[in-house]
Formats: sequence, structure tokens, C-alpha cells
Amino acid sequence: MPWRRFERILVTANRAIIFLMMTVMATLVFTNVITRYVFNFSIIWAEEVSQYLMIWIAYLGAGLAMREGRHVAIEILQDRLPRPLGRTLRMAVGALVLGFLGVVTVLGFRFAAFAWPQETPVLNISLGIPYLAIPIGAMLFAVHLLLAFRGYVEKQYTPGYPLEELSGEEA
Amino acid sequence: MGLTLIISFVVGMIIGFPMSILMGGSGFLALLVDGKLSLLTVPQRFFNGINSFPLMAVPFFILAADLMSAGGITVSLLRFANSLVGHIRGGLGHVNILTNMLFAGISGSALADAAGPGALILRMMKRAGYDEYYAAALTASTAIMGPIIPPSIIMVIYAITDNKVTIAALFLAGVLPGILMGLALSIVNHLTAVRRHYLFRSPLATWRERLLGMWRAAPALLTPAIILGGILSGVFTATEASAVAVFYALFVGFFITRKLTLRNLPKVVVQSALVTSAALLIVSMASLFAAILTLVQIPQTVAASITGLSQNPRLVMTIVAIFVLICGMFIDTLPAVIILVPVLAPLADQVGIHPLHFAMAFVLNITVGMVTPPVGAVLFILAAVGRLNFEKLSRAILPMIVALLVVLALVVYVPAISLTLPRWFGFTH
Repeated sequence: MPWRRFERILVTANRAIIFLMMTVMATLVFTNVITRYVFNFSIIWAEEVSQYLMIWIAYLGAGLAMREGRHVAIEILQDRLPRPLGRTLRMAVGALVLGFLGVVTVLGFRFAAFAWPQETPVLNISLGIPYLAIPIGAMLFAVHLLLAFRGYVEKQYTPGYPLEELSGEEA
Repeated sequence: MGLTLIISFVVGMIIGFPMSILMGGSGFLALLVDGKLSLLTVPQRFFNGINSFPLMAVPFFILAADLMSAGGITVSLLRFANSLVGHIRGGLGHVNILTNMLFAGISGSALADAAGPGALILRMMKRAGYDEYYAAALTASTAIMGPIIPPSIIMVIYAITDNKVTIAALFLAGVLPGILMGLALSIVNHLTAVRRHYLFRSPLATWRERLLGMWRAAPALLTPAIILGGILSGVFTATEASAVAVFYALFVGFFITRKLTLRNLPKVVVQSALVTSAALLIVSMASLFAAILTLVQIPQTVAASITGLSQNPRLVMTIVAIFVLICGMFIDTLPAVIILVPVLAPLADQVGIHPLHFAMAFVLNITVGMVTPPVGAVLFILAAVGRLNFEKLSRAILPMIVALLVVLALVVYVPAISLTLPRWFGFTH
């Protein structure tokens, strides 16, 4: 199945990018604390870059978070309705979410294009670059949702990572 | 415009929309129907809603707590707590409370506490012979000390939403209410143990064992000292403190407990990133929702109607507390902060309630909502973790809710509980 292969690669790449961004973000802020107190100077662009990285992480991670069932929703009605009806409702909600993500993608690209000539305060790169996090993230979220739509409807999520079991200890 | 916003929000919530998407979506719909403002407001608000340096404390506190958990620190906290209070009647229940209090000093989120140490203790209590519903209800209510005892994600978001309070002051304000919650829950546990004839004592630990337990748990016990100490002494901001906590947790995991490896590290980091993403998406999209609320002057209307009833600070606090409690039964904590704080904080200010006192009462109030049915995020997690019936769990938690409401009432009516510590450190006058 070429689709499944594509999906695997997408998930792996998405996770790798998130990992890199998170690592760089934490390292930048931490390094800045150290350099300020130990060497008495600050990396002036660290704050701006890490802040934009956070926004990118928020939007690029949203699709993966959906796969793990991490977006809270009140599902009482869906669960209480007779099964076929509840499933239909969930499909409708999923479709509406897809539609909204499409809207955000289009508006987000238009907004980034609109802001392209402006520059960020410190780095003086185009302000459109951080703004792109929103449309690209929304688009990616939509792709994840399309690929895992069945999983979303059936609430079959990728399990998260059990942190305690990792330590291999039982109390 | 306001009507579209509210109706689409309520309908969307009932049919089970993801909260983040729902708040963005109803905001978009309101703009679309109104037609006067540019739709580019949507991405603009989404971006500005999370374009904040202080907000970065959220991912870092999440990451630091996850790294500590993956580093095996939960178990050493549990053993330490057991050596201190395990021999008392209803021992594991008290261990549950104490462990979560200690873990709350590392973690800023009730969900992390419920899924981490909470799930672990729940299994132990069940194995020891406690009624599983009682065990789960107790675990749920101890988990919500996470966002009250510093650090706290909700408090970070609150301080960003209301510029009259600082993160540092709010963190300090949470210490005493957090301890009160622990005490109140211990009383519930004691009464239950007596009524149901629970004994389950562990053997009394020697002081040697206690010291050894403390030594093993020391890396975890030091975390709050680093975070709070660093912030209060002015060495670093809350965001910087959270980043320092991340690297401290890395150090502990790699060199002291040696449970973190280069192989498992990426999984932990990505997991924290996804938790962050879900939380920040709510903050981001809710800021559009909040902006439209303000635009149609709903905060002013609500404020006017409440001050129309009374100008008395205590009465206003009571009305607000009941209102927030009801909202908290249905809305998740982060959206509630972003939607309600701009509405209610100016009102509190207007009738002369100290902003920090109000903030503390609000945070506790909305946090209690995480364990109240019909919609309580922490309750959902524990029902899932323990494979329990949600309705039965909702009934089992009623005594704990009563205890938590007593603490809430104390915090609402006795400003000193929130203000004393911040005052000592010079945050209020």
C-alpha cells in the first residue's frame, strides 16, 4: 500500500522535525541563561528564534497530537447515542474539522503573503516565515486527519509513550 | 456576531468538537457572519495568541516533568512518601496524597500527574485491596494539586492573560492552598479508612530507611527549590527557570538515575512536544474567541450585571466562584482561563479584590472543575487508566469534591492564604 508507506514516512519525518525544534528551542533558552550569568553576554536572537520555534512546534505537532487522541473534546453525546448515529456524528465532526483546517490553511497563506514585506524585530528576516507555521501546520493536520480519519472516527489512537514503564521499575 | 459565537460554541461543544478547533471555528464563523472585519484576523490572532516569551515556560515545564518521570524519579518519590506515611492507617492513601504533592513540585499539570504517578499508585492501591473506585477518586483529586503547587501551567497562562499578576507571585500564592488541599484530602482518606475498616499499613520505616529514601528522591525534591529559588532570588525569569529545570532533569536522568539514554530521549521529547502542541493550540485558537468576546463587549455586560447585583467584594467573589465552578464543570481549564479571565479579572479589580487573591481563587476554582462530572479531564483519564465506569467514579469522588470545595471556600474568603507568602517575598504591598 503506497498510502500507508507515505503515512509512515510522514509520521517519522514529522516526529523528527518536532524533536529537532524542541531540542533547539530548549538549548537556546538554556544557553542564553548560562552565557548571561557566566560570560555576561546574551545571544540577542535566541529569544526571538526560540519563541518562533514554539509556535512552529504548536502547529506542526497538532496533527500528531490528534493521532494520539490528545485534543480534548466532550464526547458524552457521541458515546451515548446509538452506535451508528454516534459514528455518523463523529464523521460529520471530523469532516467539519477538515473544512476548518482548509480555511485556516488558505487564510494563513494569505496572511503570510500579506506580511511578507515586513521584518522581524531582531533577525530582520521576513515576518512571513514565522507566520507560515499556521497554514503549513493546519495543512499538515488536515493530511494527518485524512490519513487517519478511520482511526479518528473509531477512536483508535496511537498510544502515547508510557514514561514510567520506561524506567523499568515497579514500586 | 456575539450570538453566532456563543451558539456555535455551545452546539460544537455538545456534538464533540475538539475544544481548540471549536474555539477557532466559532470565532471564524462569527467573523464570517458579521462580515465587517477582515478574515485575516483569524491567522493573526492565532499567531499573536501564542507569540509570547513567558508562554515558553509551558513546553519547558512539561518537558522537565516528562524527563523526570522517564528518569524513574516517580518511583523514588513514592518510596520516600511510603517510608514517611505508609505505616499510618489507610497508609497507601496518604502515600498517594504525599507523592502527588511532591510530584506537583516538578510538574505543572494535573493530567501529567494523573497519568504518571497517579496511574502507578492507583495500581498499587488496587493490589493492596482498596476499593478501585475509591482509589481512583482519591488519585484524581490528588492529581489536581499539580497545577496549584508550583510550577503550574494554568498559572503561567493566567499571568499572561492578566498583566496585573506575575508568574512568580502566583506560584508563591499556590503553595499554601496546595498544602491545604493535601490536608483536606488526608482527612477524607482517614475518615474513609476508619469507616471502611481499611488498615493496609506498611511496616514502620526506620529513620535510616527514611533518610535513604530522601537521598534517593533528592534530585526530585530539589527541583522546586531550583525553580522557585531561581525565580524568587531574581536569578532568572519563570521561562528561564523552566529551561534550567529541563537541563537539570536531563542531568539527573543521564548521570544520576541513568534511566535516560540517547535512544529513548527522542520519544520523551516528542511526547512532551505533542502535549505542548495540544495545549498551545487551545491557547492560540481561544485567543480569537476571547478577542471577539471583548469586541462585542460581553465582558463589560457580564461585569455590569454582576456589579448591578452587588458591590460587596465577598458577595461578588461568591457569585463569581459559583459561576466559575459551573463553567469549570463543562469547560476545560485552559480555554476557561483565556475566555473568563478577561471577563472576570477587571470586575474583581473594580470592587477592590486583590488581583493576586482573585487569580489564586480562580485557578483553584477552575482546577476543581477537572474532577467534577459531567466533564472532568482528570476524571476521564483515571476512568480510562483504571477501566472504570465513569458514572460510578463520579459518585465515588463526591466526598473529595466536598473537601476540595471547603478548601476553595477558605481560599475565596480568606485572602491571607493566597497573599501571605507573596507578601513575605515582597510581591504585594
